[in-house]
Amino acid sequence: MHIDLSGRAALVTGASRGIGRAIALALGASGAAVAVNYRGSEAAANEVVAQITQAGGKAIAIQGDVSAAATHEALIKATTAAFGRLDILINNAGITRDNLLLRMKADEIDDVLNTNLRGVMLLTKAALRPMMKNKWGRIVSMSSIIGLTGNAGQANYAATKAGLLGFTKSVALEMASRNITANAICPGFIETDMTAAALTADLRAKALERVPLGRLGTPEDIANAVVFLASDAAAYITGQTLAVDGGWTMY
Amino acid sequence: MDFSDQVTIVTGGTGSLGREIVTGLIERGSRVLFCYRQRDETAQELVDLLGNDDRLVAVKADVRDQEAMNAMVEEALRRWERLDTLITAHSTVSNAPIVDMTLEQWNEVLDVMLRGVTRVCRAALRPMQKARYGRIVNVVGYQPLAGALMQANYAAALGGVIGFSKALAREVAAWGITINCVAPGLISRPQMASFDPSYIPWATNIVPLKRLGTPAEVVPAVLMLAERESGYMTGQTITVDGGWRMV
Repeated sequence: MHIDLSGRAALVTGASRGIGRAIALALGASGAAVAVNYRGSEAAANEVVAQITQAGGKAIAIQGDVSAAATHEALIKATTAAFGRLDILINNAGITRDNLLLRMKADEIDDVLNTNLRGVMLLTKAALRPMMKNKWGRIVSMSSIIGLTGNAGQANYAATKAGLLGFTKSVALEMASRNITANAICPGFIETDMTAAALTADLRAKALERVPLGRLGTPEDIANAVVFLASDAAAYITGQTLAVDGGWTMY
Repeated sequence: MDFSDQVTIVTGGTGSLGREIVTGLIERGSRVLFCYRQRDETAQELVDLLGNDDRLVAVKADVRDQEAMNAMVEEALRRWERLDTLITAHSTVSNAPIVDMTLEQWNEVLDVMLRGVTRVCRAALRPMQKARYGRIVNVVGYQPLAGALMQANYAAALGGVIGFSKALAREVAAWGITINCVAPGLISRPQMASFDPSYIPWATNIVPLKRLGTPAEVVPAVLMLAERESGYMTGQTITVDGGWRMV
């Protein structure tokens, strides 16, 4: 999708790998300056930055764990310090701690909630002021089809991903008069490190049976939708959920 | 969004949204055949405005006529030997409270809005299946998602289109064909000039973004779903409504 985001600055959480990496690269290719947030994979984040800058774009890597208490303002400040502004926030960082609810430990619930939901809320909150200053803002949060369908063994993860949808709609309502939109994307099964580790050949075949398009998605499939929602082209779209899932759910 | 080399059919090309869709496609390099039912002059104006190099053709054809839809697809294939994308943007309304709605009103709206979509999809699918590629985008409305006074026929027909699109998405996924819908919310249209003067202030106020949408703002969502790169979305409906309903 040839969308022009030049002059815009974006922060992408969890951008060193997988879907976040593809989003950062796509935003960079569209002309946005990109803050590539990572938690542990510094080398991978630097590689994403290098790819963007070598293509003539602007990018920096910023370390920060979105589940940590003091990270949120710092991430936003690092972005605005580097680029002078913040227009686009992509809440992409997410974790899983799968277990059946019967056996799920409180820690497994807290970890997932802290990163996937509380982290998104606090980071979004911190991003609002610079966006209000611009009178323009785009917030795109990565939910999941698991937030729509549920999944055995992922009660904690499903709750956060469904919670994000309600959060997104509320932010959309609160910020509409400021020309800030908030939308969510529900990826289906996407080829990433996370799914490669979780999917045995057997599970993979079973998953594919449920995907009408007959293939796993690519991170680029998701990045394409993100760039669209982050652009002027989506100015009248807010509070929405887009499933990019090869026809899995069709909700 | 690059549509050069591609061929697109648009129904309802003379409507306020259809015109913008046709314009957007031509600007991005597509060859476009659009059909219209009544407005010869508007169709000619659009062709004169945009079509300077044989990339734009208007066909007078009624979506209520399967033969006409088949012939329209044949015409696109005869000219350009391919069909990549179908966008249905035709529209007709016939409003009344349900208890007063005549059978003719029901039938007309269902025939145009629901059966019309199924006819043109049937006609377009064969070449898409042969090419093992296709994009279909059906413009629906907020009515089937949110309900609308005096528009039970319209809401039912477009709800039918959404269900049809999902079923078809499953049927033809194996051929690399995707089908999605775009549901515009309250969009400013020329007809609104004749509405009660309280309508626009009311509508502006109930939309969180505090304004009506424009037809041009609906087009990017349509084109996003129509482009080659969006190959992993199918059976979906994108709502473009300024946050009005969030459904």
